Amino acid sequence: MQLKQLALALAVVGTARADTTFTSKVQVYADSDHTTVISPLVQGTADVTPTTSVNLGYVADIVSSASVDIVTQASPTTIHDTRQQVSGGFSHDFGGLTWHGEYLYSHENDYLSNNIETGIEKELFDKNTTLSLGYSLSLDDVGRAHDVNFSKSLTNQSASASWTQILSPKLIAQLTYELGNASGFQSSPYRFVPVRASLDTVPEFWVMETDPDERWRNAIVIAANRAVGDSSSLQGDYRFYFDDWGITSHTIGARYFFHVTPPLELRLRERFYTQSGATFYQDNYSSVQKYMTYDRELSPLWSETVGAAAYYLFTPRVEGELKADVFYYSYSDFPPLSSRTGTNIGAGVSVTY
Amino acid sequence: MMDSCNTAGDAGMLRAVIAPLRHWHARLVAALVLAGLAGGCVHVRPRERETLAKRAMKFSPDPAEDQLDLHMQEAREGSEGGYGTSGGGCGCN
Repeated sequence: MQLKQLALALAVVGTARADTTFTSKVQVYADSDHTTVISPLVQGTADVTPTTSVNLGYVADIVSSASVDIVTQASPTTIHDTRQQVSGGFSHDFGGLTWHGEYLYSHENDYLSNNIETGIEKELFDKNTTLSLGYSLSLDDVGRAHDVNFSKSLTNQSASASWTQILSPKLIAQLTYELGNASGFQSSPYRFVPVRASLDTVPEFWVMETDPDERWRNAIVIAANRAVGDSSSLQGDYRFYFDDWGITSHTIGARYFFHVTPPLELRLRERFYTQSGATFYQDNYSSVQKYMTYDRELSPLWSETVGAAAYYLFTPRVEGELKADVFYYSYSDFPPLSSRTGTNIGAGVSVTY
Repeated sequence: MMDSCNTAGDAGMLRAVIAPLRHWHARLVAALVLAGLAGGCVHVRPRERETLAKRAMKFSPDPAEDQLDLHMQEAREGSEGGYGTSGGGCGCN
């Protein structure tokens, strides 16, 4: 049934009479914690009428991991998993007011996700100001490999509001607020927490990770893009995040675009991230508690990413790209792992006709 | 040329409205509302937006790359939100 719907949607794209863009990419993630993820992606967008466009997409994550998260467990192993996601969406312009929506279906052997997203954008003051509202709902089923009796549910919702403002012919700024809620099973079904008197003693026993069932997230992002000269621009953004699990984080990003030659554009980027730990996170639990986690993503950490990308316009309608990022994560309070480094390398091509 | 309002007057009005408010939440909301109204004063004409139309001036110049990167980051950090969609699934490797 889903294949039939996909074929129908593809047929709609095929009959497009205006701009159609096809993008294909692949990214390869590898880190010092023995995890590799290969992510192929294809996307197509077509203008089916002067005011309506549709899009289809496919992305996969092919994962191989023997990370410390896995090998420090009571039953260490190496996992191989594949996540596949298909999506379809539309956008319609009512004349200054744009409505868009998208459906995503994601499947892996132990996790199923159905996601809908919708939003509106309103242009004001001769298109100098744009206000946007968005909403997303994700209904997830969490399973556990080789355990048909394990079945949990998780519902994620988020609402966002965004204000984009042109400030001059060379400066544009954006302010975004997003409120998110997760309700349901948020632990890892594979992660168990050792209970022991101290870090240097052998675990007395292991208990399944127990995170709270409810989580409220808040994210505020302010961003600005500034043209520099005729052929380059500087982008900067800052995110302040806090949630009711006690995590507060700061994210600072910067990107610099410049043309080396008319068809060759380069992008340099930097991203710094730092967070506090969840209130219930401990590096060691000496007794059983209501909430217990062994998740390094809930521990205090910081990371730094630097990277470069090159975009080359082979013809006015065909563009190729290469990218390479290098990152470093530091965990100040996670005994099994103090840091990890890695790379994220990608290549892609985009065709418009 | 770009049209603009009286910025000195706008700043004075901003101070006059915000100063009596004691709580920082109220000050933030008032500042955003006034800044929004002031935003209507900035007027860049369509013919002046050639630079703004370039990819390098867009907030999400490569949405496909953003989706892949966000999915990776959200699986490795405790925060999410504010930067758009990262797709579905757990990404819990």
